[in-house]
Amino acid sequence: MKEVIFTKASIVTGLGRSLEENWQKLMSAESAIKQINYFTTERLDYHNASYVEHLRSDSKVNQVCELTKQVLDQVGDVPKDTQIIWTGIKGNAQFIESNQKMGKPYLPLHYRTWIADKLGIDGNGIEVNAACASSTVGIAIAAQKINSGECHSVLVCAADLASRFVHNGFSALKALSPTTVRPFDKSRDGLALGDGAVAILLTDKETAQKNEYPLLGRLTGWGVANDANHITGPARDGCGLILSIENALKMANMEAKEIEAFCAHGTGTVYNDGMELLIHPCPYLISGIGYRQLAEGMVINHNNNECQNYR
Amino acid sequence: MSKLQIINILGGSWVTASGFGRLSEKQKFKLDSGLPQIPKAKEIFSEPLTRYGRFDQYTKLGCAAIALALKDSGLDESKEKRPIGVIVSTVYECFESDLAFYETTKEEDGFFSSPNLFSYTLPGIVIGESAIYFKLNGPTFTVGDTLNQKGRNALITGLNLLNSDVCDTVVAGWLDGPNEMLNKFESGDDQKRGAIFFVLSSHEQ
Repeated sequence: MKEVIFTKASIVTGLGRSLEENWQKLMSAESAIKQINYFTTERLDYHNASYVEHLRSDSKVNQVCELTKQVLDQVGDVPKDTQIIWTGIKGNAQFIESNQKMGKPYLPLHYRTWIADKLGIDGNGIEVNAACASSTVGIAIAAQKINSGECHSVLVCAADLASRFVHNGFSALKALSPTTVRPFDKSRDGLALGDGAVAILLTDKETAQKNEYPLLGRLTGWGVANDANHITGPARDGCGLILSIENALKMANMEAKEIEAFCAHGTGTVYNDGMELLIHPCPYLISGIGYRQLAEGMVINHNNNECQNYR
Repeated sequence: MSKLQIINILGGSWVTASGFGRLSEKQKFKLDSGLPQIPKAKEIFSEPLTRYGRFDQYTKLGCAAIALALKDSGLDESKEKRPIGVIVSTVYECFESDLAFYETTKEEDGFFSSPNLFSYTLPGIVIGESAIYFKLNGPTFTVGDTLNQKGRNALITGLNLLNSDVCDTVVAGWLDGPNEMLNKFESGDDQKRGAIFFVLSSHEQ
């Protein structure tokens, strides 16, 4: 596989406005989960989320664009011919919550073209949706585009909100934690939702060298699989996870014993964490930092990049 | 550049306002404006898919077209899971289902929010339902499309997966259900709705 390099990365969450701030606060065991104050949760069993302060001060501003703008500002310039992969999931939640009175309903393709305008680039690319694996799959598709020679650089970008729409939905599914989200803990009792935006620039080696981009990590293999089990529950035997790991290792020409860290979804739910604990191929297990829907995979990838031995 | 392979079309299907059909049966394809004529479960599934009647229109439309495409390819029955991918292009996703779910959150400050309707507020649920029924565990996700392209991005993505040997068979195509509310926002939309799928493979059947 052709060398695919992570060159630039940024995130914004309720915990911090940059990659560095998020990392520092994670290392000092800070949490951004707090009581929701922008809609009432009195009749629900769940009241907490991680949200970005002041994001909702002007209800007429598209909050997904506002979050995306913050990560794009951190990424800075990208090559003119960079393709964009937008992996946001529920960019229409704010429009729906406004009773369809807020401007127009942003579809995924609108966010991609909005990013292109913002960066002043052509904006070819695609939108990818694979639920909470959207950004991870987006990164895989970006790697495939670079590897095949279709393009030299791809910006994978996503933003989503801990909106009333998704909070009420996950609340109805009884999937939220009524206490504190505790991934892989014996007493875990559910997930926590969060605002989040992420952007990652992947390039080939020549583009990284030409632009003197830093080497944050290399992507040497990927795998995507469906466990064909249930639309809201994982296969207990982890068959989909096993297949995707096997395919990623095969592409990277690696063996399982070489894996030194494993970044899991780590939702904090009983069954998903149980399945991941059953399968994870090495003792060093990393979970996501709260449940950011689309942004989750990329947040995990950011954490991965901090591992010195990341492949 | 990765080496390009010969890709075979094993089968195909459509569900439109004019009816539904399969590629191998040489029925006349027609794409008109209007509500897609979604087939009944007994017309497409050999084994009962009990949830089919409860699907939202987007999921029902997509599942029907994917089922017809797999039947057309002779790949509709299997006892074991198979690494077949499914890539769906959609512009409007499941917007109508989003609205239907949100309506249930309005009473009693969300106390009556419907978990069943919330499950259908992801555009990939149609793939999940198809994957469960047909035992497909290859790469599966939706991609966007620009207006009126009707599956171009899914076909390109599917071909790329085959050419890079990620899997050897992919169901790829277009799915957009009726979206009356959204139509007024998109000038240039040809208003034609439905689903068209092909089964592509790097192996001959």
